Amino acid sequence: MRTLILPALFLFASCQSHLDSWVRLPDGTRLHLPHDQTLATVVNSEPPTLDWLTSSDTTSSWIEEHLMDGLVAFDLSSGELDPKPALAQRWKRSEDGLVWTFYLREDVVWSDGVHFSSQHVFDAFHRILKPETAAVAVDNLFVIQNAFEFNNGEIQDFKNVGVKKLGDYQIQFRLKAPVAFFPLIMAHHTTFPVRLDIIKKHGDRWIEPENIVTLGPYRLVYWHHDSRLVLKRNQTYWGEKPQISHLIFYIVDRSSTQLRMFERGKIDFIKDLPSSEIARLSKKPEYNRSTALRLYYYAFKVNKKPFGNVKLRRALAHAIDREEIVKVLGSGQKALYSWIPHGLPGHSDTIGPKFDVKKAQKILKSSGYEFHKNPIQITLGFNSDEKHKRVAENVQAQLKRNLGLNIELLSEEWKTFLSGLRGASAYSIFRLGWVADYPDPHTFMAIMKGHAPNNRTGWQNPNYDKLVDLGMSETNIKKRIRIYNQAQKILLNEEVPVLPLFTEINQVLVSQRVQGFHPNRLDLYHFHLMELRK
Amino acid sequence: MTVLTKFLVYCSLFLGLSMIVSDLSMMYVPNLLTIFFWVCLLGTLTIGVYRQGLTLFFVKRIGSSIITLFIIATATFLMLRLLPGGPFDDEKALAPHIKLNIEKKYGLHLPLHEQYYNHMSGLLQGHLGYSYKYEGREIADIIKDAFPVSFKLGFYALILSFIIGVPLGLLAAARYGTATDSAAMMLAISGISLPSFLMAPILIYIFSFGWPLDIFAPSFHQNLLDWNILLPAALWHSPAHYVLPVLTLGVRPSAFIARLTRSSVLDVIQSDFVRTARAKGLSEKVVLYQHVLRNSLIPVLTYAGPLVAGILSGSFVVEIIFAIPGIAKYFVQGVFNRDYPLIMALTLLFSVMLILANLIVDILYKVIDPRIEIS
Repeated sequence: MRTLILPALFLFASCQSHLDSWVRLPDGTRLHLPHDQTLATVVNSEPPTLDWLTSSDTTSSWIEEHLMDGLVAFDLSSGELDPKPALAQRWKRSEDGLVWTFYLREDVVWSDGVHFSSQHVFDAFHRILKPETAAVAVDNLFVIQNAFEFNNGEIQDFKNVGVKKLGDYQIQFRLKAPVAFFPLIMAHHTTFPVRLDIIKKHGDRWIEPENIVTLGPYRLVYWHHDSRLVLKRNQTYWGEKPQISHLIFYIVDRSSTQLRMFERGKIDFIKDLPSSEIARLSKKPEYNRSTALRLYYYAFKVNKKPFGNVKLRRALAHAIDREEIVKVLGSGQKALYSWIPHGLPGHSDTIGPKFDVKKAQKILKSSGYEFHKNPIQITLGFNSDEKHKRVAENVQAQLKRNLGLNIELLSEEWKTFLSGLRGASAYSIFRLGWVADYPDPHTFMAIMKGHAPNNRTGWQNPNYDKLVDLGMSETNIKKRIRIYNQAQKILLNEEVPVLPLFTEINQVLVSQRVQGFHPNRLDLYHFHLMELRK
Repeated sequence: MTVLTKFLVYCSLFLGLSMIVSDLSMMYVPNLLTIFFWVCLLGTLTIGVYRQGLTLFFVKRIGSSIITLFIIATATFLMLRLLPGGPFDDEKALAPHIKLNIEKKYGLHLPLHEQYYNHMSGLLQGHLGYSYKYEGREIADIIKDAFPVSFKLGFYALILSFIIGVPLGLLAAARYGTATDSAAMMLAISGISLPSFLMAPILIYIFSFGWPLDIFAPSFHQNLLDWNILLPAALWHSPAHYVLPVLTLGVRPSAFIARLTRSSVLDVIQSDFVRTARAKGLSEKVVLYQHVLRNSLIPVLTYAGPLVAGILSGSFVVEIIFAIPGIAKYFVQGVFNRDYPLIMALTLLFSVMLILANLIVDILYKVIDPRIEIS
């Protein structure tokens, strides 16, 4: 008898594996998730928050973009990611480019039945810029007049900030300087409208499914922390209603576990693929790849010996063959010599120091450093990760082979590495990356401005800063490219505080039953634009 | 008194079992049942402590535990601040004033001694604070959500390890020197040496993907898939999901317990009273189960104390591989995220578990062997 118990339990347990096709909602009712109308996907961490104004990570924003809309949306079906109307039907730019007026839709309803109006947009800007909110991802909004000063407490009265309500369905922004791509910023989740009354009523718990009020294509109905979220089609959505009725976002940390779930047919969509499996996966019909607006680069600490010497930096720039790095990684990244990555205006293969060993050796000789006689320790720092290690080892080997330089590698835990970037650190070259918030070259050019917090090289050049500001305001695309070419020349050919290495790629696995999937460079995948094959 | 004790013991046993059954059948466990279970269990413990004359010992231990916890809290607080990098460092650097805004929100702009004072007085009032990473989530809420999951995983793994470990050890000792003994110990050694990050994928490939049937018997493999009989590869929604993680987590302790039981039984089996019992003409079964086993459980219990604390507060590797929403994951990621209040709270939670487990083990010593004097 006793020997039967364990097998019986096993059998009993296995019969139940279909039981997760429903969830119990906060109000106690069961929500069934019919397989043919439910798309399951996976995120690799618990979303830190679903408050679209304070979140600053991609997991949160991916879910938020299904729950909410902005004034503007990216056209994901076109490769260009052009801005298209969303909550705003249209917008107008003043002659001088300083004032932007957005005309809002009048037929939008929040999930609790309240009508959407310009007040909710105004409230969002007030809330995110208030110092007490302590929002992280606000820097894109500092193009608005006095937004920076309000956020750092210099100005107390929000009336002085360039956000103005003109009636119930018009909102106007006055900018500090003309910004050619301003509508793109209005597609970011930090500009989505918000309901202050809901936040006031529920406090920090307003993002829980029983409290949250949204207006996007889906509504949040279930959130089992650290386990899964379930979204349901919003029946009162102003736009075209999604075909897929339910979305499940499982929270699974490890990409190998995610892959196993995909291969068992448990999930339909994965964004994060284990690098060791790429070779096998890339042969599958489910595999999709696109170039990302993501830059992978090395930077010099220019205040630190020996990289105060510009010739030495230039020599290194010529001595590293990016093609070789990309080959070592072997998953489709593109070798990059210019600062603006592939797929954006301003990217050019002719800008930036080309790989040329002889030239590199010549420059090194002329730099005055005699490494054989007087070796200076050069350390290359990166955060512990398999991919970063492979890149660093390849660069180390290349510099040894091409210039005879011995450099040391230093792999550090993420936060330790970051704190080293701020202060005293052992390394004089370090790895970093940059992800575009919006598809415009400015997001890349701006990080190297003199006082930009993300310029961690210690390098600055007033001419470069001036050119970047000029490029931001220029509406003529040809002139803009010319300006950016000039700025990139300063950055890459003359002063070389940074070495762009490659443009990253987005890789996803999409189940065969999903239709209407478009790979895109921003890694934005909106399920309300996709369909499930019956 | 005895009747009451017996009643309470049987009540807690019965309620405990029925809770396990209802959990495994995914039935809804009413809160009242849970509360009643804990009342019975605590009642049993209280009466047990009182009747064994351990009240003073108990009170003293609680007192010293509070001091221990205070020291742990202080040390954790200081050590966290010594870690390089702060909670709000990220690839995207923050403008200085934004960083200040955030630090003000969490009181991190204050001098260290004031932060310490605020934190400790919060702890005294029962506020564990808010997580830095999971914005707006109270740490008490995180623990409330995640701890029961780890507890359940650990509890089943623990039961499994005793169910496997003790009989295996006993068997090996009873057949000392035979092939059975060697086989059992071989099994135990492999169980100890197989790390869970290797064990888990192997189990998953066999029980969840049907390997190697998919190569050798594809049609039968398809049947397995159609019958939906293979176990899920990850997640924690139903008892079917429990099987592989519990197995992974339970293997190592069961192997350990098997080895401990064996060596301890071998020790006891050579003592005089066993020889007497055999000379009396008692059957080998009676000797083994009634005289030897009970006396050889003490070393096993000593190991069980820290084991219980460790296993109940979760295993990081198992939780990560099977995507289980448990507490151990928060512990490790809390450190990576420099989520100070979360790490503080979880360190204290783990310490409390460890102290409690050791206390219970000490009391059990006395129950198993009344000659032992604990003070």
